[in-house]
Amino acid sequence: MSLLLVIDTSARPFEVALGRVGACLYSARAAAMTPNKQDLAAMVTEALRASGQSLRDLQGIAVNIGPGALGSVRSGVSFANALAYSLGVPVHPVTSFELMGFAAAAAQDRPVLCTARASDGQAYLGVFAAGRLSFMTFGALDALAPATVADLDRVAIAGDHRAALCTLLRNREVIDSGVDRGTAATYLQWAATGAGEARAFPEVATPITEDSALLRDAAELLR
Amino acid sequence: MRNLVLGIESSCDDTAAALVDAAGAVVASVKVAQTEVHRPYGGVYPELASRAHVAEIVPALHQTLADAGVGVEQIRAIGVTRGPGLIGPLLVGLNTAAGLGLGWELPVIGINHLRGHLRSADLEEARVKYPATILLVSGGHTILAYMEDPASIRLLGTTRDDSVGEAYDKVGRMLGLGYPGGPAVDRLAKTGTPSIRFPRPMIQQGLDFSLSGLKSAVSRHLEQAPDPRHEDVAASFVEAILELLVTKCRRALAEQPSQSLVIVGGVAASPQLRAAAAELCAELDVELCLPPLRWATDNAAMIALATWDYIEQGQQPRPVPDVRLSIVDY
Ligand SMILES: [Zn+2]
Repeated sequence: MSLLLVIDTSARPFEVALGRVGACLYSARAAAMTPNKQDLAAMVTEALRASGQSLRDLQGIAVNIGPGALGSVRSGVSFANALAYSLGVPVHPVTSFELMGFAAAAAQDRPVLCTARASDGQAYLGVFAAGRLSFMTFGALDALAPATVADLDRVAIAGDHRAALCTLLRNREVIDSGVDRGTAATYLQWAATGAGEARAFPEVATPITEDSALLRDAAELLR
Repeated sequence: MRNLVLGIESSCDDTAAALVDAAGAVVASVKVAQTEVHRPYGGVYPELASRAHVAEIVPALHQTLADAGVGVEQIRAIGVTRGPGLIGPLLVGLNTAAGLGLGWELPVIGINHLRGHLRSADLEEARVKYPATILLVSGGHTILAYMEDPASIRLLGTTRDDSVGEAYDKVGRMLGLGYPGGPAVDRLAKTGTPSIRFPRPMIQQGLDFSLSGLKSAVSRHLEQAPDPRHEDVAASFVEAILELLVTKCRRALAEQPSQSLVIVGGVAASPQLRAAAAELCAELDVELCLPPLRWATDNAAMIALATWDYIEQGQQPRPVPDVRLSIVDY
């Protein structure tokens, strides 16, 4: 089975994992490093050394494309795109809601409403159901959260806005998954379900931003 | 043989990569400008600049290698701009360089963008006769520097507020000339007469610049004059800027005699500045060095050439961002 490197810089501390689909060999968060000096090259080198693997054995690089702290996400995506290009391997973009939703759904077995902070007090929202991210949008949490879950019978919540969601959705049966963020290692489990896609150069991974096409289309659906 | 440096530049609104040898020969150079991305905003919009860099940088690198027709085994090191500049764009370049450096097992050296500009005039052929006085005038920078040789650089003066390019762009906007305003202001100026006496801040002393007072005076004139003739305003503004630049260059050349005066940066494209500098140099018997504009504006070849200087001096600054690097910093 092919060796994959997973990079998650959507929040601090940054995280890397190394493993095969379904089997994590190594994962670490760089908690000890200061925010601007989380050296991804050093983290990856350490991951390879600690797990006795070689860079030449990598067959793909998964990277979290957000939503998350934008400057950090871009750092990770830029690094992943360049490393994948230099090794001639594909890059696998994954959203933070896929990692978060998969982690929360594993415990709750119901659709997960995923949330992440955006700028100006706004929020990203996504629905993870049946092993896939089925919906994602961006805007004011109070307006969007009830509309997003309107068609769901049961729902679990994950991410940055769990406390606010408990109040906003108090008329419904909501379970707090307790999941703040997914982990890089989650990718290896999620990919074992056949999810995830690889992109080979000249395609590159692109961070999710507030006006990604994905989000604009979703906002239309809610209207 | 590892005889090339790969330069990467992403400090502002150009995504660029280049391969350059130790003598400054440019084997390949690719630059993707974002002018159209920023035009609606009348200036560089940092968030959109970061996005465009992420999308363009690996394709630009690939194109550079393809154009050069060389393999990675010919690359000695990667030099990447670490500042000054916009933090988001800088992080894209630095992390891209880090990924390539890891994958290709190459050292990654953090380069001061301003050092790149100072060396830009020696790309393709050694043009600069040292010691040299250098005027760097662009949207981001206004700097007078003295170079004994490529390795010893002294800052003579810089701007205390706006850069020359910023002043041009802002006046261009006041005159309704769109973005970027510089070339349009120069063109309009040629059709007018410099009949308005705008201030020349700090012209009497020192080698520093201050341009916000001049910009405000133009703005006030446009508000208060009953029927301002735009071509005369442009001509008067350009005259004031030129007098400032030429006076400071003259003073710098008197204080530190130089063999050449080098003018780089986007404003070096100004025909008025080129003519005024030629006159000054003829009078002082100094060689005027105006490199091709593609090396005078932001590019990655100059970053690669500066990287060679660092390699030769045994310096290897870490590729960490520093948005406020000064010209005297490594
Ligand atoms: Zn520059």
